[in-house]
Amino acid sequence: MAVNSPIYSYFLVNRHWISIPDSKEMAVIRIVYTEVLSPLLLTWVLDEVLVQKRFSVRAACYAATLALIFLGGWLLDRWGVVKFRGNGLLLYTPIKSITLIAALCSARLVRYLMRKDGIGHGQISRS
Amino acid sequence: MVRFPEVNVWFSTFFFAAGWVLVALLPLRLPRSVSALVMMLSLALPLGMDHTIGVPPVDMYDTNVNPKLTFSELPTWGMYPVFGYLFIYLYDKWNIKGPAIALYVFGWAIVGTAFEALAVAFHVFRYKGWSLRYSYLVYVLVQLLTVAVFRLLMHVFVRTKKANP
Repeated sequence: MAVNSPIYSYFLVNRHWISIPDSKEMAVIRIVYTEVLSPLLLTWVLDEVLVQKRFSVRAACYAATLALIFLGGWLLDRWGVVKFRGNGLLLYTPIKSITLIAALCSARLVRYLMRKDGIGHGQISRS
Repeated sequence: MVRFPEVNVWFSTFFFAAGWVLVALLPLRLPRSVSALVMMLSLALPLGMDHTIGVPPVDMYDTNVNPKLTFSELPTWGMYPVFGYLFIYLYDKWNIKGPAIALYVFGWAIVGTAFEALAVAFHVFRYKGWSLRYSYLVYVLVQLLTVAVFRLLMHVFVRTKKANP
């Protein structure tokens, strides 16, 4: 979320690669998607992927996540929540993948700190 | 020609540096993983606000004079986790429970609002329809959420430690 938000501002205010309709309802949809749904989904997927032992499975999951990011942007454009301009749609996935890298780094950092705190891998139950 | 940073950047940089020095000097009290998660939450929530209600079509305020995203935002972002960490550090140190939580949250919301007023005076924030009264309400809600998340994290941490000594 901390990385996702500035990226949207960069697209919207700095580069004008997206334009948004002057509608509060559309703004709410955009905010809920970018601030809640997208970060939650990315963090959940990465948390699950990190415990996968096989590299090929992890790589496939990362590729699928990138495809999902692109699909999210494309759908927002189709539904009129945002409108991509210029290189917007082309650069959307590469720049948004920074979110993926940041989420990966933060998940790894927290797991490392958990080990430093004396909590081993897979000891936390989800119940 | 060399352009010196404006007063807002000096203000953010000073409090960013002073805050992190203070965090480093404080004795380690909380589990590292819990501290990191509290800091991430304290960074994510205000950033989420800055880039939702701070951009069109809502656009209630600008950060750091220029509405565009610039490197001058970095020290401002660096102040947010320090604020959240100190809030939770003292909450834990003073062992605040029951109705005292409400008093603590209201007190910290006053501190946060006063600091924001100072930041506004130094042009770190420029209001365009926002008000310090709204900030106070946001601080109360965010700090209550932070307390709830911290208690949940500590509950999971203590339970896991007990189960795996």
